Amino acid sequence: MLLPLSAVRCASHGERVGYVELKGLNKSFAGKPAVRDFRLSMEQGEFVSLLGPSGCGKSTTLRMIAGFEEPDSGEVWLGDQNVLDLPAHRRGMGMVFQSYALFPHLTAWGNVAFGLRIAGRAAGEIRRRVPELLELVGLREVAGQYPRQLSGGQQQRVALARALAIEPRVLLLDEPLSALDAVVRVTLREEIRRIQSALGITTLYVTHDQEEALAISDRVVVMRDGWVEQVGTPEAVYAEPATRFVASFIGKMNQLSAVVESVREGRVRWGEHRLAVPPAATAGLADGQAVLVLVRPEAIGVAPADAEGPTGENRLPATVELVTFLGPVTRLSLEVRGRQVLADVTTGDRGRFQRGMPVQLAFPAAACRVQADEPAGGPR
Amino acid sequence: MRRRTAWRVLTLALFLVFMLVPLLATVLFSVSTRWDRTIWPEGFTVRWWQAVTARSAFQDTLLNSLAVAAATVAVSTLLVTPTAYWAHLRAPKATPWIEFLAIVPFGLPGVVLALGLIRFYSGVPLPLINTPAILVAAYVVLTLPFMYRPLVNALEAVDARTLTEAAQSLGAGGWQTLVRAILPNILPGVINGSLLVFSTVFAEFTLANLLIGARFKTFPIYLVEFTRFDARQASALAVISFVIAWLASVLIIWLVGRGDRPRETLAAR
Amino acid sequence: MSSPRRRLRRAAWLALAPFFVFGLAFEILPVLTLVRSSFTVGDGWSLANFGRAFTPMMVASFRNSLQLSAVTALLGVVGGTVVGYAIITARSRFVRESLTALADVTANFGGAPLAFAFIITLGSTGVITLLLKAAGVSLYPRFRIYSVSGLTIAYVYFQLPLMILLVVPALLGLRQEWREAAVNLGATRAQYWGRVALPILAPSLLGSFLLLFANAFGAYATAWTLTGPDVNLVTVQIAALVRGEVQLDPALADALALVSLGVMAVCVAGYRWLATRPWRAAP
Repeated sequence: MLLPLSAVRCASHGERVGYVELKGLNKSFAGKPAVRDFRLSMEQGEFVSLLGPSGCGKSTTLRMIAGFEEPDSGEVWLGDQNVLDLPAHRRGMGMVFQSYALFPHLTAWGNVAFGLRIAGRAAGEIRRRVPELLELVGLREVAGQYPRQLSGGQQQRVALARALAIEPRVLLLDEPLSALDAVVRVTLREEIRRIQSALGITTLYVTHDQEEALAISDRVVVMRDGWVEQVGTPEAVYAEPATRFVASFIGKMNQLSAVVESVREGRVRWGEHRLAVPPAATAGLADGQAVLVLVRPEAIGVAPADAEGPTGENRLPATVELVTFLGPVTRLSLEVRGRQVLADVTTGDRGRFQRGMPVQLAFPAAACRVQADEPAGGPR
Repeated sequence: MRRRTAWRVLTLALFLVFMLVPLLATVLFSVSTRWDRTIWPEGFTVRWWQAVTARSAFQDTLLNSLAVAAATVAVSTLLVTPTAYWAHLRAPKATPWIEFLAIVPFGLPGVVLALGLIRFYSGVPLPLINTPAILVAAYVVLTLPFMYRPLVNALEAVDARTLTEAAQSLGAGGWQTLVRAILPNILPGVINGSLLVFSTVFAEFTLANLLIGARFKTFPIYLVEFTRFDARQASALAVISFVIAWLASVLIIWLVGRGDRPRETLAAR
Repeated sequence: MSSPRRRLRRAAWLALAPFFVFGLAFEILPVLTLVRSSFTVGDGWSLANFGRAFTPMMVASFRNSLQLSAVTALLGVVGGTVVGYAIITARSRFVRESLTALADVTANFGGAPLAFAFIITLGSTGVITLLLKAAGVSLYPRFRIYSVSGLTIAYVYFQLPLMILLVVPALLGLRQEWREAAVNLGATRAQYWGRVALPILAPSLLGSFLLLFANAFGAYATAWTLTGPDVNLVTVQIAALVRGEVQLDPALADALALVSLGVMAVCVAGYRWLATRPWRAAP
């Protein structure tokens, strides 16, 4: 689909725009803190996701930026302007709501034109821009239909077009896809990302779906209980989780409770097994310190005990407890001396494994991350 | 939002004043010796109350109103409940017709209904005209929407169809099912409707005045007579009217905490 | 169709018979009698009755009734919406619930006791009249409670709470997200109300107006108690004809009654139609 990029502009003023600084945002409801000391720096054109479980404060943060909640303290800077001084209707941020919030008494055309009419744009300009925006989201042919006549996915596209119509400096999306079914979600998230890239609009995207966040973001902010747990690229957050929470929230992660044997050589003791980890991973720790060794299931190779073994410095004998078919991969729940380890094998290999079967597993030292074993629930 | 609170407080205060002042004035008036020269009553007395309630006509009209209201409730319940139930259950095609009959009274002013009934029944050899019977019949028609709506809402809310099937699987026949399985469950709706019917009928003046008038005086007629005769005793009667209407409303509101609520109300004009 | 089922269906319709007979006997037939009678002159079908019925006095009565109904319905809709909005946005739950209950109770007041209460309040020696006189404002003799203005005030007394009960559900149906979306797109408060809230509420407000209009148009007891035969209203005229006070042949009374039924029917039908407008059901 050709995007009429030339005709649709994102904000292009003289000064640096879209450079967003969020400093020390705090918000409590009835004494209960919802957002604690939220900080973030966004480059222009960046796509950042706020990811976390329900109640982690991601939506509240977004709403504070949009102006629907007043922060207890903190600053929101857009370029060189402190946005908190502005009332919500003058912030120039386009918002897409979870429930679409399309005006029921206006057609798709009317909804998209709404912001332009409010701004007093000339009729000719409106007549020109609205079809362009609808074309951008692929909905030109339903311009004359009312929201109740449109499917969920179509309504969300109209909502997106409506938010883009006002040429916002920042685009805010509050779980826009969570009310849609799985197939539509995947298609639509790709489209949102593609449009956002093409227009170069700085975007803040709230979601509880980690696959979504990892798939389309430049950076991910993982939140829990109002705190920011980690900020990083999807790869970084996935491969190098900073906290135990992030490790367990993003994908599946084996967390092995071990004790450091030698910091210099990168050796830890896991029960009666010795595990090799990259020396860099143990830097900053002390001999004898309690740690967690983190290994992703897909990094662990498994083979039947008597067959040719998988590669990797760390090899352990194990027994298959459970074989779970997940579609593209099959997850093996393995028991190693009373402890559970998850390993993923490609489904094609599945036939080799059955319950109760003795196997050997192996994983390279490089696949391990080591973290000091903090008490659960500790904030950064 | 802070500066808007002032607007809200002012609006609600004005509303409160407008609604309550006439009522409170009536109450005060009924117990004041004289209140036509000064802002506050010149003195207090229960004389008017004693006078107006001592008359035999007071008791008679009160009883007449209660009787007519009770009869209307009875006839309406007996008429509407099985009908609504059967239609809901077995003859859904009849529902539009029933709904039509239940909507017409909204568009039927009391004076027009009175005219029509007199016109029709003068030519009919039934001893209906000028008896309380025609009044009850007219009241049942007038209050049909108030009984029908809560009942139908209740039937839908308790899923009468499934209850009926359950009762039948246990051996209950038609009427048994209605009385033993359905009625106890839709009782709040029935009571809701009955209270609305009762309070509307009790306060109704137009039909009572035009259909029977002097031969069978109801409480509102008695009150209107006194407004021309002695304002102070009339005010005592007005207070009684308000109290009864208020009681019925409060009962309905209390019931609403446990059931559904009909949104249509028609002032007793 | 199996026989027992057919029997059951017939039995059901039979069980519905008493209701239909009743409706026929006391609702439909009386109205039809009026219809037939008003279209009959001598032995034939004619519109002459309508022509004769509309004497200047009768025309005046219609004008007065329509005007009174329109004015009180308008005041009711505007006032009721404002008060209703104030109620639902009140911070305290106690305030919200008690005021809604007040509206619930007072919507049913009306008729003679209410008219009387206004005589006491705003009559020539009424308490508010005296209060205003003490404050330097003299209502009488320019204002009289026994007049159309007095009647208007009394009617508004029961129109207002009725509107509140009708409008509160509609106002509650205005979703928070619509307001936020409008604000986010740059709308000020006034623009939100003008471009989003009121258009969405419009069918409901219009329907309520029609209902309030019909409510006022068909009212009798309040007018009779307050102004008696002095104010020329349609219902008062018809009642006088029913009582046989004025010597006119019956067909005329029926013609009047039929026209007022026409007015009522338009209002009620309009209200019902508007109540089922599509964009009440928001996506």
